Amino acid sequence: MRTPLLIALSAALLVTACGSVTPGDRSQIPRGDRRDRMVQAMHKNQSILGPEGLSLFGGGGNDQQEEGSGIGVNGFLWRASLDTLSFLPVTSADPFGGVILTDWYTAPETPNERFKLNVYILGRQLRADGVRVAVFRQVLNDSAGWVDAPVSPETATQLENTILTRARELRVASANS
Amino acid sequence: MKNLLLGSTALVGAGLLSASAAAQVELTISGLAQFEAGWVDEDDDADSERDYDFRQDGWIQFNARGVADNGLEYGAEIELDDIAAGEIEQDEQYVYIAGDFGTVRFGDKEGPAKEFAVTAPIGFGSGGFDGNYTQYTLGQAGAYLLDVEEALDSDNTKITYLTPEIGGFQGGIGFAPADAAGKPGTHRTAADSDLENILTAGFNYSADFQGFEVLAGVGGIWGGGVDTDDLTGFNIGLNVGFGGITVGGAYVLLTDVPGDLDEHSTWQIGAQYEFGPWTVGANAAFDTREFEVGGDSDTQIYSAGATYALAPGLAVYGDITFVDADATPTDPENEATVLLVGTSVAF
Repeated sequence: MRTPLLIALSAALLVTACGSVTPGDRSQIPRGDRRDRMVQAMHKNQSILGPEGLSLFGGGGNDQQEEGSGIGVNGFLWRASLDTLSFLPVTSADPFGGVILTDWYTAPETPNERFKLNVYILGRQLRADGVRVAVFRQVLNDSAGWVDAPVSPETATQLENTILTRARELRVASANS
Repeated sequence: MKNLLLGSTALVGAGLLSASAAAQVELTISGLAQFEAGWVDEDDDADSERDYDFRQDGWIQFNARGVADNGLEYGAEIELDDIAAGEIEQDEQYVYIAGDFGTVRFGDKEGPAKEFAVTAPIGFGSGGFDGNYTQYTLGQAGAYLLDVEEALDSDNTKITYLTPEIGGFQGGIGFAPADAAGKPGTHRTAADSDLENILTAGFNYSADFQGFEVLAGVGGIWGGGVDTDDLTGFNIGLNVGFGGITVGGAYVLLTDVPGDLDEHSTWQIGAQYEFGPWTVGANAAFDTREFEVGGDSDTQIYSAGATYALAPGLAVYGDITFVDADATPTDPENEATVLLVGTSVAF
């Protein structure tokens, strides 16, 4: 009974002495109490709902898949922001900082009103709080020229939602392709 | 401009997306439901008993996890237990914080000696010598130690620190004021726990050497006896895996035990083989208890079994276990053979 253990122990010592050892895959290691180990053994950490069970409230399990690549912020949010702002003249777009600044834009229907947008993409995850839009509005005053005017907070939210919807479409399209 | 914006926001689902993804804390629900049938042949029953029975078990776990802006991970686990028995009890419950410094847990959860214990392979059937056969025997089924924390209510209320993994090593240390889970602040007397100031520690080492996976684990325990003996002991184990085959063994020794035992030790050995959806294996445990009143009692357990994964989350399993337990000062000797088959669903 002790012999196999000694052989195994010597093998381990031999292994560690050789130096070219790489860390093992710890996700394969049975861990925890009897129940944890039972679930791991019987189901290899697979469950009906996937390896992490049922995630509620914005489970971030697939964050890695949702990241864009090559730029400093989420690629889907970045492209969605550019798409959404395509009707505006963009003065500055920094894909590493995630900042898009537009120039003033006057819609043909409302020549007395002009808008400017700042869009900030806040991270590499595709999530709803990953994009912020600041809207600036000015109206033409006959005596004072362009003067700042209040903007409905809903406008920024609607823009953010538009970007998110577009990002989601891009994500779905990329997942299906 | 607003019209344009409204037109492009009309797609359904954006609101839902933003509402659900904006929350910072993620809640995960998981659990297991299990059904088994067991056939028992044992010496120490009254011969009038039916020799088979059904049993079931189940639990559900809630995990909350969040990551703060500064990178600090935090969360909590609550596990509900004994659902099959018609009553729901809280089993494990803890809060934790984690970061580059490691993980700190506060609450009811096994300690690092168990967390990092390496045992003989028990990943087939219901666990072989560590399986469910004891749920079916009427006479005594002897004893065995899977690790040193078997001597405790291992989910006792404690603070645990786990190091990050460094070069294949990971370890931890845990401290509990008493051997009591779900502890209120009043468990300060000898009547609540025969142990106090319990320290458990353990580490394991994992490495991959040209396809050979090596996993070694060591754990230790120290507890002060309250009007009884102290608790001291250690466990050491080693597994070597290659191409789906894992062989391993472990030794657990308690040199001081509170209560009616003087010393308690278990040797474990086993092997298992995973191929496709199958895991088959066999293991054995050899246990010796020395009693305070004198005399000792040996237990020998031999088991073989298999698990078949039908689908993700659905498994069928079975094992056959033979137990030979010597008489103890309170129980007559018993020999039992238990065959059980079961199915379980993890979600």
